[in-house]
Amino acid sequence: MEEVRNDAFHITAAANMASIAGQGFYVGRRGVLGAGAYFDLGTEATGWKPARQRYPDLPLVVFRCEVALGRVLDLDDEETHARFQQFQRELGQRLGRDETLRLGRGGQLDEFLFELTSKTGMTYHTIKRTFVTDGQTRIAVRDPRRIRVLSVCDEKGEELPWPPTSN
Amino acid sequence: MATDKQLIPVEDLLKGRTDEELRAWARAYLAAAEPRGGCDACRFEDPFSDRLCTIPDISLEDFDLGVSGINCSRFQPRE
Repeated sequence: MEEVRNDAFHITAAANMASIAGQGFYVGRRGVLGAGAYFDLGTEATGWKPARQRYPDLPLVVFRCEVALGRVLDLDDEETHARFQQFQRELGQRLGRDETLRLGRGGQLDEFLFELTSKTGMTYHTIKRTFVTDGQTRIAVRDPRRIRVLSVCDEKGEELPWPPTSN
Repeated sequence: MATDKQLIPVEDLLKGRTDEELRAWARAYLAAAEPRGGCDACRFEDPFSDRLCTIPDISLEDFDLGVSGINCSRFQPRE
């Protein structure tokens, strides 16, 4: 049975609320887990600092969402991670070191997932990893239809209407 | 959680792809990127991304989250 998490937090600028309400979460952002909409699992606490750095002058909001994870590429799993590292090494040999580094881990993951899908038909819906930088488990969700907003709060913790009311 | 780790045939993933095809894919991928903010020391897209990392002394084996981002001694937030 598919795992559903109802403790997925996404912090962004309040200015993005309308587009999220209208078009869903943007899954084209390329981060360290490849393209996807990024969520912190279990807590919102670690999301404020990077969001503040991304949007230094804008008010922020925190979305609490339910995410149907689907098929998960779990990079916390040792064997899965080892396989991805094997792919990274092979990619490095084929592309060259500089090009591989330029792609970054997210680009390498996107290539890994692209090859998996094209060669095997296997599609991963979610990429999961616990970051060693802050110990936070994050997911990148590649299909916005798997995400449902449960609540939205401002920086003071006050719940905002969802979907947002237009004035 | 459905991870399907046993089904990942890593050895065969790049077979059938020429080096030029791979380079073309990488070029197109990087050309479509939208650099934003981040670190002036290593040009991260953001503190949690190593997409644009160009630190020359990171081995591919170490090319993981532990050697980059806000833990990096060279991290300098971009204004």
